[in-house]
Amino acid sequence: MAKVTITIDDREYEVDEGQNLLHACLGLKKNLPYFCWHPAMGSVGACRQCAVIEYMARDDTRGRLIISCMTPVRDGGVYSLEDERAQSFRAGIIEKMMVNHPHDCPVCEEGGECHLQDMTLMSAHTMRRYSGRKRTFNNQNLGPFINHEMNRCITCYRCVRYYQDYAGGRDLQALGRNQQVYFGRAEDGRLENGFSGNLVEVCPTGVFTDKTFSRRFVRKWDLQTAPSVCEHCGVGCNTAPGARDDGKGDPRKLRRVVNLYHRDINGYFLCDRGRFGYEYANSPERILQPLQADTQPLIQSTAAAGEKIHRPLPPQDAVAQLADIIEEARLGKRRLLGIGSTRTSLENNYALKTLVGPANFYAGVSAGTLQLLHLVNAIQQDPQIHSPSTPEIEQADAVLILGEDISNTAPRIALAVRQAAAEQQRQRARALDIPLWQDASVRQLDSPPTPIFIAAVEGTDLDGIARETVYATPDEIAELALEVVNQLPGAVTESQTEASDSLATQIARALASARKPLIVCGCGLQSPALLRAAAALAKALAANPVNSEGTASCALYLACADANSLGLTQLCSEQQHLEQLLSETAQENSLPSTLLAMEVDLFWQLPDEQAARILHGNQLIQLDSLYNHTSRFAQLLLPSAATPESEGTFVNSSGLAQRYYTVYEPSGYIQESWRWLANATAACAARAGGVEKIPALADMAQWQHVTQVSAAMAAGIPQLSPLSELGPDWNTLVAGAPVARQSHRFSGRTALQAEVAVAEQPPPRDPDAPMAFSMEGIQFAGYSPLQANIWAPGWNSDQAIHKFQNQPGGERAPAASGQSLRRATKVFEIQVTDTGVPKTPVNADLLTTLPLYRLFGSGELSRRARSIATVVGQAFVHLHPDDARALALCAGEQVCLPGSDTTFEVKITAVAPQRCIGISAGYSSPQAVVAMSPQDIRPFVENPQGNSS
Amino acid sequence: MPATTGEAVHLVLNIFGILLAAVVAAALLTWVERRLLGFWQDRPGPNRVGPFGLLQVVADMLKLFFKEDFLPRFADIPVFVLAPVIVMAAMLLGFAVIPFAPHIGVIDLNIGLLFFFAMSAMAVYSVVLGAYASNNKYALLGGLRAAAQTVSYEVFMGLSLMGVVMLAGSFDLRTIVLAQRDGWFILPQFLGFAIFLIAGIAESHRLPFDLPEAEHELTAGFHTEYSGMKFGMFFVGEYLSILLISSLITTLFLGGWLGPWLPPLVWFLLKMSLLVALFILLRGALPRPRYDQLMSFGWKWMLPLALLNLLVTGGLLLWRG
Amino acid sequence: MISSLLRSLWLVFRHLFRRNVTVQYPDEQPYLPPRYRGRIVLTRDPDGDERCVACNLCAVACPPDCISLQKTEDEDGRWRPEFFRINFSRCIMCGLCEDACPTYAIQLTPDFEMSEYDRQNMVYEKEDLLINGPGKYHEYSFYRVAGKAIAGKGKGQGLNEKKPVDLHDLNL
Repeated sequence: MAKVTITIDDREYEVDEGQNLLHACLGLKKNLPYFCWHPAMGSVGACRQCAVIEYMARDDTRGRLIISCMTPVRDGGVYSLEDERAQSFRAGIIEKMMVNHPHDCPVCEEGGECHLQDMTLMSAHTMRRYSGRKRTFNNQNLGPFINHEMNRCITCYRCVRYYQDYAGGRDLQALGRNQQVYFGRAEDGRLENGFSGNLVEVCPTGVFTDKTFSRRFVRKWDLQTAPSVCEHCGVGCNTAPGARDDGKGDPRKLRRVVNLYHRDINGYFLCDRGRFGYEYANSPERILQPLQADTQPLIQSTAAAGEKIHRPLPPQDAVAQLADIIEEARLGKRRLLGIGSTRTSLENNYALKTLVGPANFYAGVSAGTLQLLHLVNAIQQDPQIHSPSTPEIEQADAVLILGEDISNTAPRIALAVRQAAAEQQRQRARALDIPLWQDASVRQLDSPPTPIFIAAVEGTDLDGIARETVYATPDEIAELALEVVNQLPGAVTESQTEASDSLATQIARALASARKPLIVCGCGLQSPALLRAAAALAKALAANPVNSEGTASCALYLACADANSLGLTQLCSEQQHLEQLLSETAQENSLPSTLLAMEVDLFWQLPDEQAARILHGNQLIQLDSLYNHTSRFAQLLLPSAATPESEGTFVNSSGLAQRYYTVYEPSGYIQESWRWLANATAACAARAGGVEKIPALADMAQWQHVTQVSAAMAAGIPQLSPLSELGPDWNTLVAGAPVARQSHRFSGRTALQAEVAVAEQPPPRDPDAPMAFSMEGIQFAGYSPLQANIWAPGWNSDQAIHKFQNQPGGERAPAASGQSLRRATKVFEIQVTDTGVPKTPVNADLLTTLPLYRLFGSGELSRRARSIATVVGQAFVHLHPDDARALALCAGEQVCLPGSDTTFEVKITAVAPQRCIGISAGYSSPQAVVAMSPQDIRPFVENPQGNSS
Repeated sequence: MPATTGEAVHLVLNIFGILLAAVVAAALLTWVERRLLGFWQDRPGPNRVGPFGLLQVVADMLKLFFKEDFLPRFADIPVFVLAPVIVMAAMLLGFAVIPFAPHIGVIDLNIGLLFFFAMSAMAVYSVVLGAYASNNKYALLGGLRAAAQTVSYEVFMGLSLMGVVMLAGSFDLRTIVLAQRDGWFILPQFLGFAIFLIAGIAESHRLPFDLPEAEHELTAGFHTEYSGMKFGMFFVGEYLSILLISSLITTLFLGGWLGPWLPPLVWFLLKMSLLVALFILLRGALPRPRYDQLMSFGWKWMLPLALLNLLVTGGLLLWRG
Repeated sequence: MISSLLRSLWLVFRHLFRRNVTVQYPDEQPYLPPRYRGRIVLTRDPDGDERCVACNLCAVACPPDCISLQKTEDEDGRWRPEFFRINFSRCIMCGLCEDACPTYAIQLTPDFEMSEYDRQNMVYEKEDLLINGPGKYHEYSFYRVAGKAIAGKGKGQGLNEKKPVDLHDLNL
């Protein structure tokens, strides 16, 4: 990019051309106040807070006041931030904004990380001169996530610009006029958009605050943080969870989650599942200590067959019991089968695999899911396929979404796709020489929207920006994709002649003429055919010379369900799934079997009946963080750490391995799953008389630090070799000191624990990372990528992030996290004519089952978060009006489905394919059948005895 | 050898009386010093234990006795234990030659003054050995300072008294006292008195010459590692040396027990007490010099002055015949 | 030099005849002004409600970090400390907490006789700190001037506040 030379306050700087002056000043790490400007949303020049003086030339002494966010940097431009007039103008602006601002800071959740506080101080407005009456507003109840306190508003319009223009929400508006603009809904109610939580960070003051945080509020400086990765979907957004111990052993230590900037993944924004889903870690259903099945015969209870009642067990006894079982397995007296998990780290899975041996390790997913994951893995290895980063998605100029409901399965990607909708406008702006940060001007450009095509099984949040939306079954969508391949220019097929205006032709034309086309698909619909078709289309597009600016690869985003779906895929073959485990355990075998289920709920992954069969007759040892359906059958339950309580590695849907770090010491006897396994192995070694006596597990028995597990994996598995470069080793200091998790203002050090014992205890040591559970160590995020407390002098709010980017919106300094997997490049062989699309069921009587995902409800962990649980609602089925009429079902009716205890609410919607039944995913165990007979859908009858079924 | 039983009883009474009196006085001095310092600093000082706080000494002693007798792991234990004993023993032995009154005094040696020098020189061993045995850098620095200081000041301490010896014609302290019947030696030997006073302060490591234990620089100097009664012995040793130097000045320059009306012992104690008060006043009023200042003062001023004093006194005596 | 030394000796010696400046505490109790920085209390506003709104500013201002509290919000909309703890065995009586307090809740008093045989007894909880009065500032009530609505004081009913904007009113 071309450089220009500008002079600010008599010093010369070289800056990139084309940016605005505010952006340039912040990039130069200057302190210039602003409100309405946001690095992701550009400038509108509404608040006038960033005024500076511009001089005509060096010898000009008068100059004129300009609004820096609206002024492009000019080569040879001479500016002054510190001129007396500019300073007094800015002080005047802030004084006017503060006229109506209430005297609320002590009782405001924003206080201490408030952009308005920072800017007020920066502008040196320290005394309120206004003594008249302040305008007030009534607040609205915006649901369980967001607090509303309108008195504090300074009318910067950031909230509606974010909510409407950026996130596509419609239910938050600027109402009223004049001095009395009101930002709110037409009436009380939850903000519908799935990204409403970002208002907390976007609002420069305390109008929108985090209600879940407010319940057990502490100030930002009192939270200890560490870089973490969101565990609620496969996108891999970086987060900065904040925790604080109450000194009395309350396990609810995690207080909130905020965004941690990562340019290539989440940028400045998180989805609401990621932001508010953290509360599962504080759930009363957390397992805090080892539990053992009570051997006393049960008094008649509500427990079903095989279900157990548990009682606490001292941890050393639990380790001894596990060691007994490992010992028996080692001596060949017992089969030990491990079930890995897609929602826990690579390290945990690898430890389990090492313990039980590769042959006895199974992925804790169904055969279908594992097949899909391997398919995704194989597709991403193709040199013509390219997994796009979020900025790349935002700049796509033609998008085709194939079946995947990304608003609910990979929400942050949906937000990025929404930005792509304006890409055509941006291209036109470039052509007209309008800078892209001129937000209002770009938006007003008369240009057709970016062609976005959506093929879905139900109405999605992105339908509003789509040029065409089609509702079809997965197989039909796959066929559509193949049809598009055939319609691409250059593809000579017989179907090209007919119906030249069909949807497929339109899509083909749009994709073929785009320079940066994007295909989005995923595992959500459980259809391998769909994935293959998406790959075929992407490969065909990559071969198209217009595309991809000559890189000969096409962007294909494939969404996987869980935070580490793709990671687990690297550790097991396509055959090591739960159905295989079922057939393995069903075989006659003289040996007793023990299942070691790690952070997996079998009833979440498999239909009830299959899960029950796996558990039947086998001893179950479970390691998990939350007590779930599977836990009821466990002989021994070991408490594992939740993501913010542990360190490990996740591989996101794009194949990027990212390490997350321990934010706080977990309560009770909770520890990482691999530690339980390593402890038991060490106990086993001690009994055998030394680690050399158990050569297969010798290394594992000596694992002390999670980085040792990572290193073992990096050494042993070629595609995971980047793990050794992911982060510092547990004892390697980053900048000569450990990284402090607590801020330099952390309070209560000598009082927090004083109720229990007045003598202060030393902080616990972190065995896994060079980080301290105290305020001693590196405090400044510029010195270490491990520092998640984003703070700079004068910048207490999250806006301080620009101090740690090479420029606003750029890469995080000193380094961004993550390493791509080193997977071998391998061409994904696919025949367009034979993608394995099965023909629609011949039996027209059957209804195809479709999993329907919800942001709140389809996440295994997030749906158990306290606030999210209040909006999850009931399990439901979607029916097309025609099908509903045929079944004689009305909306709101309760029905039962075969093989499930759950009752479902009938919802009738026209935006759905016919001859299908959409079933809410995650509200009950998955359905066993791909298609069901209408007779199986039975109306729910209230059973006077109590339970249904 | 005592010739008669009466003499023997007299001797034993003398020995034990003086021993007891010296130790009790030294202990009491700790209280006297704190009270006096208090008065000079416009506060009462220790006044809560017993009448006028007199029993503070008992309280402190009890405390010292019951404190943990800590032996550092790294110390040279036998030497560490022996060191405080040396200072106390040397100082107490020094009292043997002091003639308190015509019939009070342990022994009249014809080399009494030399005996005193020998004993006061012994005391430095205690400090150096204690510091060395502590195996502590502060203690070692303190010990080094003590050795250098004592060696330096000992030189002219001896020389300063030669004038007195010449005037009296004897090293026997009783003879020296009797030689002052016609006039105290402080008048003809004022320079000698001043030099001996300064040297005496330095010998007893009192302020302003307490560099071996300068607490602002060296924690507690040579006795950093000492606690309990071993520290107590150092402590009492220091007060004994104040008493000893005061007694000696009284004997050599202020006419000893000589004086009208009052009994001789009272005169002696009165003179001695005033000198002790002077010692305490010096502590209350004067700042501590730097170490190099201390050394150059000793060698460049005190030694030549002492030699000059010797020369002039000797010359005058020769001139007078 | 010698004269200056002698002068020092003389000056110090003269103090033998001066009056003592020290007071024989505890036999004599010295006068302590009301703003003396001693034992810390939590006060109540003129209506008898807790003044502390759990803003955490005292805790962050505290140099030895000996104040700890947890915010909770009551049904009436007021913020209150769920617990409020001062570890007086660490407190240095600097008064920065009082300076930082935006509601006059935390105040220092002229009481300093807080010695205990057991250090644990130096840990004061909210119940130990709270007094039944407004302390040095008799009239101040934070919620009367704050914009936040609480039970009994709706929006627009605070000091110097207009009535809440009615968005359905055409005369905006």
